[in-house]
Amino acid sequence: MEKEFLSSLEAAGIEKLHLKKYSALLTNLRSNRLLLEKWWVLGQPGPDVINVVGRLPKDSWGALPELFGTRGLDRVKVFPKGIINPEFIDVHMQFNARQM
Amino acid sequence: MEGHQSASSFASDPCVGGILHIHPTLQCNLTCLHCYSESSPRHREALAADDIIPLMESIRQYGYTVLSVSGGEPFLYKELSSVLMQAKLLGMQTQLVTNGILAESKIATESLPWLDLVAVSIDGDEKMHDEIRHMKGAYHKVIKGAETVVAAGKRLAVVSAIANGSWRKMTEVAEMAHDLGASFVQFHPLELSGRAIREIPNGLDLEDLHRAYIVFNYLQEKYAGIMHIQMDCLHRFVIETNPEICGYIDDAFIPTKTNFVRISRSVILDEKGNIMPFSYGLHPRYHIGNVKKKKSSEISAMLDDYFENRASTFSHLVSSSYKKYKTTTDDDNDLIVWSEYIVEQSRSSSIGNEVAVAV
Repeated sequence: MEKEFLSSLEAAGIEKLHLKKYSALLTNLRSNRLLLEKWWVLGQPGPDVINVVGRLPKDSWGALPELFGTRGLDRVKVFPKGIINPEFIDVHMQFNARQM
Repeated sequence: MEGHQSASSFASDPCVGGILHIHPTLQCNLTCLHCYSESSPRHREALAADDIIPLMESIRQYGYTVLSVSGGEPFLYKELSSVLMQAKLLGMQTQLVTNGILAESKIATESLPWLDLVAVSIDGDEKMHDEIRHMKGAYHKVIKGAETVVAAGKRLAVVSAIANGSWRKMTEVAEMAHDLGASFVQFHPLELSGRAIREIPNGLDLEDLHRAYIVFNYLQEKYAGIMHIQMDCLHRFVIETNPEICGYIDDAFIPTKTNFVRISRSVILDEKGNIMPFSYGLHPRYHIGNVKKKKSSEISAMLDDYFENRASTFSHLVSSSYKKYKTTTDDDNDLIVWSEYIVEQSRSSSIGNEVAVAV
């Protein structure tokens, strides 16, 4: 998986603008306490859609409005996970890369 | 030169206070391609411990409670153990950055008991590391050196320079650091100064800086709770939302001896005896003074004078630079090494003139 991740950073067609979008999105999401679990990009040669799956600590409901305001966010799903009481908050986000 | 991390130096460690970085000598057993200070075996001069210790004694009371030794190669500095021992007696935390090759030398053996943390430089995989170090076998030696540090019961950190292409090796460096038992890994984008200008003229382009930053974010998640991963560059988003991380408090901030550490987490003592805030290479107009030009009994008064009367010059540099960065529309500036930006601004005539007027 690590090899795939590294090779995706120099895939044909990847250029500065795309890398800058990834950097900005990563910084933004992580600054809002989202722990990234999975990240995949659709589109050739540049990204059309960026999918992100992550989790927030259970005391981070307050971070959601900030996350919802992330530029380019198209769709989002939020699931509290845990039996009886939430242990963490699962967040699935889809970004329209052209609007970022 | 093992000082390429000088601006931040494991500063994310929550227990770390302000840091006094000293470069007692530029003597080095290697001539690394990326060395910004051109350290090499031909340098023989060194600061005397008697020049360094009075500064440590005085500056500690202003919140600079960590001593970080760089160089040149610190394990070639003959008075290293005396300086470190004195730092420990003063209650300071001690750390050192080394190429690791001399970790079993007499100087290293005498010094290790006085060190809290030792950082070794590992620049990529074996092939890349040996090429940069200009020495075949350097990689194996640094690994052995790191093992010596761990065997001595000391905390280990790994520092790694990032040039074009080396982002591909960051995961290997982190893995090696983890295997060695390191608690920190610090990646530092290559500074295009000193020997690097001639030897690595392509430096680090923006695409590879972004790639390195993305891999750094990945590694932070991968090693969360296991090993601290740091990269010496900031994204515009972080700079804009956390001005204090850049040393900018607000326009009403007046620096004093008790709060100066908030705008400059580091104070540097270079091999010539110059004391300067923030980062190696800062323009002389912002220097605090020179330990060689003062008697030891005068150091404390010199610091007092600077913090109370002259520190506003530096404070103004930081605030002007911060505002300039925020208003700049250069989209290629969204990832920067803040310390290098401040050094660059300190040398730019426009900011310098502004400061001259303000003073």
